[in-house]
Amino acid sequence: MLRVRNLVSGYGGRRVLKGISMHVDKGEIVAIIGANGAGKTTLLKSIAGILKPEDGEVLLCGSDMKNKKSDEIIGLGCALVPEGRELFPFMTVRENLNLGSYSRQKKGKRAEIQENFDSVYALFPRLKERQGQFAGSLSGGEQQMLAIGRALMGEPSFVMFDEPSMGLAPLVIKDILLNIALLRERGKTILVVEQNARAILKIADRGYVMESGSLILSGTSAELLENADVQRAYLGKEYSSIAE
Amino acid sequence: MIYDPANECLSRANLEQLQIERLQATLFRARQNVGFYRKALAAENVEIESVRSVADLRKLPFTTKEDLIQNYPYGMFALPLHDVVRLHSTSGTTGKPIVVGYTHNDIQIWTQLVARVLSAAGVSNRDFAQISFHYGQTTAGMGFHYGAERIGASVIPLSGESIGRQIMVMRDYRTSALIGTPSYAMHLSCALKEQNVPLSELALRVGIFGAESWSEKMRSEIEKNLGIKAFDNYGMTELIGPGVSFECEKRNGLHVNEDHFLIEVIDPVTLDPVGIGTEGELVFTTLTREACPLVRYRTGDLASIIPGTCECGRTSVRMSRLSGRTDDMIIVDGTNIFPAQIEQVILGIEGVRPYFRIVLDRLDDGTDTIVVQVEASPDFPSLDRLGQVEKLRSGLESRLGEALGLKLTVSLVEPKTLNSPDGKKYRCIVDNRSK
Repeated sequence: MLRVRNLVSGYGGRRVLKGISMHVDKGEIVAIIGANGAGKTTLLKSIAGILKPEDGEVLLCGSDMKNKKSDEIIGLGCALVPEGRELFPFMTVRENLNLGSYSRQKKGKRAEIQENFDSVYALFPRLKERQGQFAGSLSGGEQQMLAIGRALMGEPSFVMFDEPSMGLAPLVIKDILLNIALLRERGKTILVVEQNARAILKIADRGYVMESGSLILSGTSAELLENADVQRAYLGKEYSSIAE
Repeated sequence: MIYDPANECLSRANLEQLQIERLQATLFRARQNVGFYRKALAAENVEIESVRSVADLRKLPFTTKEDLIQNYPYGMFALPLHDVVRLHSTSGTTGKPIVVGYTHNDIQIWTQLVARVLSAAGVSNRDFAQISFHYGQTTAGMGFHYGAERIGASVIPLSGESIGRQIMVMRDYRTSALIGTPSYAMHLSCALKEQNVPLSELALRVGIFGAESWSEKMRSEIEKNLGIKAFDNYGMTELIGPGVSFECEKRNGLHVNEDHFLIEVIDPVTLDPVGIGTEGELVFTTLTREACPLVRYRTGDLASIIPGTCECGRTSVRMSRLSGRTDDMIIVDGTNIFPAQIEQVILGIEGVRPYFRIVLDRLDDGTDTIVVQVEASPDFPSLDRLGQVEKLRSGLESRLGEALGLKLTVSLVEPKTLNSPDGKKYRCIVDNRSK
C-alpha cells in the first residue's frame, strides 16, 4: 500500500528525517512510536504532501507522491487525522464533516457524499446526535471522533493518525483505539504515530521505533513489546532494575 | 511444506523493501551501541545514511572472526547484558571462544527460522524428532530442539547418549526424523548393521544433517543405509546457529532466510563481490539480531549463489552446498579445529618441535579419526627410551585433546621428517575423509 524509501525531510533547511525507509501493507495497522521531537509528525506530513521531502521516495499504491499536490494525494485515497484534531470550533459538527468531502463537492456527487455522512454517523452515532452543535463544544473524545469522521468523508483507503490519544482520558483512548481497529475491519489501511506505545501496540500488527529522525527498530507488535529498549524507553519498565 | 509462506514467498520487491528497512535499523543500532562498529565506520569514513539500498552494503567494512575474538567476551554486544537471556559460544580457536548473546526476541526468531528448515524437509507435528547433536555451548542441539518443538514434532533430546541407547530409542519410540551431523548418521547406520537391526524395524523417514560439510556421495550412502531422505542445512553460531539456509524438497541448493540475513559472495583475495554462480567466500549481514548484530561477517566458507528461482515457491535466493574453507579450519564430528591451536599447544612442550601433520580419516562406520604426527626434537636425549617417549606422547595427546575438545591420537615422528631442509613446512593437513 505505502512504501517509503530513504525519505529525507525537514523544515526550511533543518533536516529532521535522515533517510526513512518503511512500508505499510494493505489491511495492516502499523504504529510508529518514539519520543517527542523524533520526527514522527514530520514523517506523516511528508507522506501527506504537506511538507515537500528533500529526497527519497514515497509510493502509495504504486504512484509516486513526491510532486503531487495535497488534493491529488487525497484523490489517491490518503487521509490524515492531524495532531490536536485541528477542527473548526465555531462550525457545526456537520459542517466540519462536510469539509472533509471538499475535494469532491461537485455536481452529481451529492448522493455519494450523503452516503459518506451515513457511514460516518453509523460509526460514531454520537456525532449524529450532535450534528448541529459547534465542534468547539464537544468533549475531547468527541472532537477526536469528529476529526476521524472528517478524514473518512474523503473515502480514503489509507488513513494516517497523528497522536490520536493526545490529551484524552484513558477510557476515551481505549474507545478511540477500538474505533481505529474497527476501521481496519472495514478495509482501511492504517498508519498511526503514537507516544502511548503500550496502547497502540495492542491494536497494531507491526511497528517501527523512531529516534532522532531514523527508524532504529522494526518488528511485529509482540516483538516490540518484548524488546528491552522499547520497554525501557517507551513502556516505563525496568527502571528499578537499571537503578540496581 | 512452507512454514511461513507470508515471509518465505515474499515478492522480491517487498523482500527488498524489508531488507533495506531492517539493514538501516541494524546499522543504526550497531553504530550507536557497539564500539567496534562505531570505530570501524569512522575509520572507513562511512556514513550509514549513505546506505540507501542493499547494493550499498559494499560501502561498509567487513567483520572478521579475529574481530570477534578480539572483542571477547562481550565487546560485540549491542544491548546491556541483563537483556540477554542466553549465551552460546563457538568451540574456540586459540583458547578464547566467540561468545554470542540472544535476547528473548532473538530466541523467538531463531526458533521460527529452524522451524522453516525442518518444515522444508517435511518434518511436521506427526514426527518423532531425535536430536543427536550435543546440547551444550554450541548452537545445533538447542537450535533444532526449539525449532522442532515449534512445529509440534515430538522432540527426543538424546544429545550424546551412547549409540546403543540411540538405537533403542530410535526403534522403540518410532523415531521418524533424525537430526545430527552426517558423520553421526553414518556411524549410526554401521551400528545398526552390527547389531543386526533391520531397517524394517525402524520408522525413520527423514534426516536433517549439518554442522559439517558432506558430499553427495555421502548423502546417497546415508539415504541407502538408513532408508531416509537426507537434507542439508547451513548456519553458524556467530550469525545465530542453524537456520541461516536450508534445502527444500527440491534439494537444489540451500534457501537463504533472506528476510533475516543478507548474503554476499566475495573473492577472498580481492574482497570484491563475485557474480552469481561463481564460487567465493560467503559473507552475511544480520538483519534482525538484537543482541549481536553482525555487518558483513566473513564466514570463511566457500560456496556460490545459484541463479534462477526454485520451483518450491520460496522466493529466497539459494546458495550451493559448501565446497570448502578459505582458511585451514577443519571440521571433525562437528567440532571446528584450526592447525594454529595445535601449534600453540606443541610450542609449550619440551621434547618436540613445532612441526606437525594432521591426518584425517573416516572409518566405514562414519566416525572421523584424527591423528596428529609431531616431530620429536633432535636433542630429546632419550628417544630410545620407550617409557619416556610414551610419557611424552600420551601427555601431548591429552593436552591436545583437551585444547581441541575431542579425542585424537598423537604419534611422534623422527626429527626432520616433517620440515623440508629450507625450513618450509610440509602440507600440514592430510584429509582422507572424502576419498
